[in-house]
Amino acid sequence: MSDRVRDDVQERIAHFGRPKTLVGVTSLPPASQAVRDHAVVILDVGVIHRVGPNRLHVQLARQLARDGFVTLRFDFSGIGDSEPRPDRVVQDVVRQDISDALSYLEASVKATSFVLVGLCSGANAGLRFARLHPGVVGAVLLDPYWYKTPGFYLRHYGRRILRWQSWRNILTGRGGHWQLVREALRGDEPPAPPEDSLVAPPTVIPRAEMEEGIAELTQRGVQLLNVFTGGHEAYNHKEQFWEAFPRFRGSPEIRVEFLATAGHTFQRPSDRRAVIALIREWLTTKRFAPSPQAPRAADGAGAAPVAS
Amino acid sequence: MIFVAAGVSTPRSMTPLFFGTAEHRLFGVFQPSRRPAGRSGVVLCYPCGQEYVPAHKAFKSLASLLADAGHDVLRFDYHGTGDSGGDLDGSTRPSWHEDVSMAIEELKDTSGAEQISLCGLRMGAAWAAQVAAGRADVDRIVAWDPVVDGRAYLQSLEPFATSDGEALEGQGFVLTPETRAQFAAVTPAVYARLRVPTLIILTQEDAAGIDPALKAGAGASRRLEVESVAGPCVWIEGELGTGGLPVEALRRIADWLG
Repeated sequence: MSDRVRDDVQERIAHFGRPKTLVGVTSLPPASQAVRDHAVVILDVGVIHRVGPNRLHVQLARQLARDGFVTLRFDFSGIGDSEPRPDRVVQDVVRQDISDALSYLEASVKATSFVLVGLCSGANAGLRFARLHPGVVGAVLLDPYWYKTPGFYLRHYGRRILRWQSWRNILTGRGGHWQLVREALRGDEPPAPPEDSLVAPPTVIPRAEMEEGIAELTQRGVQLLNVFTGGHEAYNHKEQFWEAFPRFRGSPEIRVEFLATAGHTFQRPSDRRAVIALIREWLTTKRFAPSPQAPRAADGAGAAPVAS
Repeated sequence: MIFVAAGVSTPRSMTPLFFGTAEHRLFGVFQPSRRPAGRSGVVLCYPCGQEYVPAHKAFKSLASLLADAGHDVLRFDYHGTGDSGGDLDGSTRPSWHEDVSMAIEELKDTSGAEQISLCGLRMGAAWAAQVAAGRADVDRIVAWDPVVDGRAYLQSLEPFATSDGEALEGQGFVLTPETRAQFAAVTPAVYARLRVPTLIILTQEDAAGIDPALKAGAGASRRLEVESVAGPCVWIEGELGTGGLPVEALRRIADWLG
């Protein structure tokens, strides 16, 4: 049984995993819309369940379905309506959850290639998973973990140097100025990630791992849309991506956007409209490399997923 | 009616589902009683706006506790919120009360219960009380940290809402003039006039500041009990991620509903 939402977008409950402990919602294109090759999977943000902050994931999923993308939003184990995994020996639950989500789409709509979308910790989880699954052909990374560069500090202090309040805070020890100086002197290496990642997706990705991951993915032809907001605590200019990793400048697989006025959780409707429009434009115009997996069995009008 | 194909049971028999009509589709999670004799039903009414997401985990836990106690439970998202259809972007009329009624009918149909209890948090408590006042099939109400002064509630929202053109918005719903009017209509009388047994349970730090009219009502009516319990305010976003659940409040609600 499908569930019409608006404009003939159909939504159905997704209940999957081994055992079936994961809960999500699949948004399906209208019957009149040709189904596109790539299914989209939207990942949880921290402890916020699958609707996303300010309902961003719901609005994005429905819009992408109208554009022809089968889109799944779901809860990681122990988050939202998904139960914790009974098998606690699984070392990386998030990785297993995403793997189960892709398997579900393979079985239900015969999808063979995927684009992952994640915000913050969801972006970090998506980036890490993309390296592990050959079916991932693209990733939208919204405010992923990032690295303060010399340019970040120059811009950060450049804006403040003429402000009396900044000098007052420096002289009195208030504010975060001295902490930033200490971070800069330390060389910006993040602390080691926690050992236990059973529930929480990674919040920190060491610089070497990030660089290695981007290199590996771009070499594979995986497309990356990196979107940073003005709410990112460690990112304050569009160029900062390239400042951190100049070797990737000019890479056709990488696109970077900086939404300076948007908050980290896209609280304003106009910010949500802007980021959704950006993702739609990128997804509908980008040429994704074919997945090495088997070609899609049946493209055509109106997805017809099987009950699971 | 539950669309069977839309929901598949988990090992613990929790069933996510869509219900309603094609034009007014609501998302819910049905948690059946874990006792064979369970024929009573409880509908859980979420808070709205920024309070919805932080409260989600506690509602899931409460549904499980109530199922253990022998109740069939349905928690659901209002139209335009969560996974339900629609958008509260100003283009759609809010339908809080109709949605509570739809959930009651859905649960009666699914569980076979003839009488339904309602448990609402914050503004969800107000809507539950307002709906209950017009129905004969609601037998008990739990109002958890209820909004008792809609005008004050609106004022408290405004610092957190964002201005987008002329509308104020928060957590995906627009504070349209109609929404504001509905919120402003919430007063202590919404609870004081209830004719069914009602528990008002308070975990707010400023519980002592709850409108005196509410407590006067409690003193005036045997049907209205007001209790304060310790625990985190699950509807405050700042307490997200701490892992804490309002254990005392959840237990008290489950005990009171029996």
